[in-house]
Amino acid sequence: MNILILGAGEIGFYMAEELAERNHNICVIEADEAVAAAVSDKLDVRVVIGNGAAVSVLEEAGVSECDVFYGLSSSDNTNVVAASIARPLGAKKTIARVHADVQQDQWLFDFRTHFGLDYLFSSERIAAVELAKHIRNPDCLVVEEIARGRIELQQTKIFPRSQACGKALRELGLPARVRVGSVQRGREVFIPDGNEVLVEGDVVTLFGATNLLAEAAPLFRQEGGSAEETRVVIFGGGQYGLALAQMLEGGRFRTRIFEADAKRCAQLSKLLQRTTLIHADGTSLAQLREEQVGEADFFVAATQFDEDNVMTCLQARDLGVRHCVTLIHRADYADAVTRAGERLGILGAVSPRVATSRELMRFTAGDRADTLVTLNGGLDVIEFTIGEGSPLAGRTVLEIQWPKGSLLVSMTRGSSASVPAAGDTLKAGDVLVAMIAPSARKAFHQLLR
Amino acid sequence: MNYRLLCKVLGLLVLLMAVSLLICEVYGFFLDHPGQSGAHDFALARAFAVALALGGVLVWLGRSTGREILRKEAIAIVGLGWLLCTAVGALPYIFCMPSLNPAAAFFESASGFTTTGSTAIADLNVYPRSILLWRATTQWLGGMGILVLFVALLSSLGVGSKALFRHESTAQIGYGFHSRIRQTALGLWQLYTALTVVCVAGLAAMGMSFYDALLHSFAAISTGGFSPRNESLMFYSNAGFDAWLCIFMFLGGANFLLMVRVLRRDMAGLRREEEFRTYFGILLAATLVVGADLIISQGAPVFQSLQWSAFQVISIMTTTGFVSADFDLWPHLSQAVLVLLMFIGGCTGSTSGGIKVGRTLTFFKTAGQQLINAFRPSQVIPVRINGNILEETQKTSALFFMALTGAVVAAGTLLISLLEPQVSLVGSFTSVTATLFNIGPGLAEVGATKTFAFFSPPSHLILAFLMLLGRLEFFALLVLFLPSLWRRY
Repeated sequence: MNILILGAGEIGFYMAEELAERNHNICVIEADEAVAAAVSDKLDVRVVIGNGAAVSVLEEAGVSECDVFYGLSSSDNTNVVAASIARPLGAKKTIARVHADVQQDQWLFDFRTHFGLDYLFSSERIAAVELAKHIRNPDCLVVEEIARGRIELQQTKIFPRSQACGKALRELGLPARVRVGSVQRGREVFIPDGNEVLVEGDVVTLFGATNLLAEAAPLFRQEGGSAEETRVVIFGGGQYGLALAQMLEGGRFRTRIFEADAKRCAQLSKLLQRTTLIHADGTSLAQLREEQVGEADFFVAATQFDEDNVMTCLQARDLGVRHCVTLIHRADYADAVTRAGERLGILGAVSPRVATSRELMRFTAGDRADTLVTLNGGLDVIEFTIGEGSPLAGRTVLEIQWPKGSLLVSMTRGSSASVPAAGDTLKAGDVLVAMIAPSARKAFHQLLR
Repeated sequence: MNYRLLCKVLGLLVLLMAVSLLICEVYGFFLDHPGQSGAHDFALARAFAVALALGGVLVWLGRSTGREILRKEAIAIVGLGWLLCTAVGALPYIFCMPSLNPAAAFFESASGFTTTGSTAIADLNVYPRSILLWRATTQWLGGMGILVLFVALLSSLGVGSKALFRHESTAQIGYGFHSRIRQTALGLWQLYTALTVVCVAGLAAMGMSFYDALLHSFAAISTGGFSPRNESLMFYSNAGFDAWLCIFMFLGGANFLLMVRVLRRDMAGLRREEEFRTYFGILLAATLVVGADLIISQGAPVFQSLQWSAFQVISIMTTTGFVSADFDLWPHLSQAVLVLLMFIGGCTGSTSGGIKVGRTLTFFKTAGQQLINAFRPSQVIPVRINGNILEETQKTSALFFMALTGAVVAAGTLLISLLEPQVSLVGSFTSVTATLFNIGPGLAEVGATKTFAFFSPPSHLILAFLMLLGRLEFFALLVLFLPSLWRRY
């Protein structure tokens, strides 16, 4: 695949490295000569020096035969303009990175259509989503977002005292349009029917809109208890801390942010309504004590400095915080921290660039059906689009003979997404997500053809 | 200080007064009949002649100067302009009733322009109707602001018009729709005039004579409170009049720029508007408390109590000062509630006086923040009004204003007690609050059915000064005493 990457900063370089390993043809556009030289030395990619928003530079980089264009520089203006003009110049898919506040503005204005982009994302936001996954669902093993974040996939374990234990699926009283996709019992993974009774130790995969899954969450909670407000402490009110706090403001969380800079505090106070701001240095043990950090359920370290993040997590853990999550910017550290996590008492380490590249990788994965995730037991979650004249178009979900071992879990039409019900009619242009067992893979791909 | 410019602008302001006097004279000529008590004596015409001459001289003195007003001149124009207008406005009373002390005439005029409504005239019936018309007109002019009118009418004042507006009106400029201050001023006066017309029409339709309706409307929408009747609204004891006037007093005490927004169907703005909600809430709560107090301790009928309590609460909180029941005879709790309302006053950007609901809100929110910070010093607590975070300077100025108010009330009470040994403490205290907050009636010696006529000339001057201080919110008047304002360099 021919891939153009604009900007060889933290994220651009990492993407180029990852994609080069997968044998793609990559051209990197970088304005800074020194950075460009470094890329040229370290990676087997072509490097073009110049302003990525200039047509001549894009032409030189080979935009006319480009399959995917990534605008990943630190300037969102350059990214958006470059991606926007790359499309008419011949790029088949265009993706632009913006700052978190621009992505927040998407509620007000449709930047994607306006600029002709396929995907607009903020790496701060993606990292914040990763952090939030740990916080929103502490008892969940895996959380993935599909259908542009509108549908969530959660894997959760059945504990002996949780309400769902010992009940058949149809007795659970799950909200409408929430589906149990699969059950893992011991080594065996299967797609259950309504009569399946859940037993202790099962791992179930749930699909549904985020808010609906939150409704269902008490059924699977470890203590079987009611939903109390979760106490969260965020260390560092930078872009990542802010994005996370904004995400948590919608839910049942009591959030505190430690920010040492007074000016930044003033800015945050304008952007956050329901979050408590503490103007204090989170690395100071006295300050953490003063704010009773030990009583919190979660401590999230989200500053620019990996060392501070890890060390404050250890301190918070010492004070009695139940779970710690940290941001690690250097990918090598992230692996080490994750591996040592259990010993250190750190629930998870999130690396913004790893999270971002994982998110972006799907654009280079393939054409008809993109594999989003592969779950335990080889279950694939795949995304596909119903083309014009497809035999599936115009039929209801119930009418179609889905292969045994496959399940439709999400349907996106325009800007809305839901878990499809039996009576829904499929149309050309719908983007569907299905979960398929390895045994059903062949039959399923035949159905698509 | 550019003295020529000062003369010119003040001259124009006096000419504006002359025009108003002339209009009142024309209407007044047809109102007064010979033989009736208080025959027409051309007092307004004589005052018009003086104002015309004075204005002419001032404009001539400042003939060869540009029109650019700087901050320094602007604040001096506001302070001096108000003093000058008050003096010119006092002329008709002196011409009409030579026996009236000039200090009392100045008091009466200040009470008009500042929309206070306290009166130094013991018996209104001896005055011709034209004078009473002028008395109400001064309130109407002062309500929205003489200088706001001035800014609205004169096109080429430049940036200085912003400063003139800011020192006279409590309306926040940024709140308006127009980027040009002249358009904002014009919009405010249009709305103000339109409301007055509706008020007059309503009262006339309910059977009040056009003259009485006009005067009461002038006094209601400006939250002034001058009535052409000695007994104020008790003269009619008509629930319809009371209710209709309540509506317009209420509107007069609300933010006019907010009303402009609502008229433009900006309902989202109204929903966010915290000050208006608080204003309405306080009125409602005070009405219920006073009403309940009247029912319980005086055994008054329920409907009557609520009617009285609503009218008095609205009249006092909006700093109008109309009276439909003698609250001097009410129980102490009700009186205490009314005194509290005197302090709070209406909304910012209204025609009312007092500390203003917005400042009171700021005070309490800041106090809450300070209390929390006492045990949790590192928490950043933004103080929000209408969802916007207040800057430190806004908080400081609100708190400073409240402190200054307290100091002035204390000093004023001291002075009045010194000058008027026969007046009770309640009387001297409420005479100060009633004038400083531009309300009108106080309690005891200056109660609902009494007047300020018995005060000595020095006290009249002090109280008139307090009214001007309250109307201009201290600064524009106090800076006049600083020598550095008057230096050329």
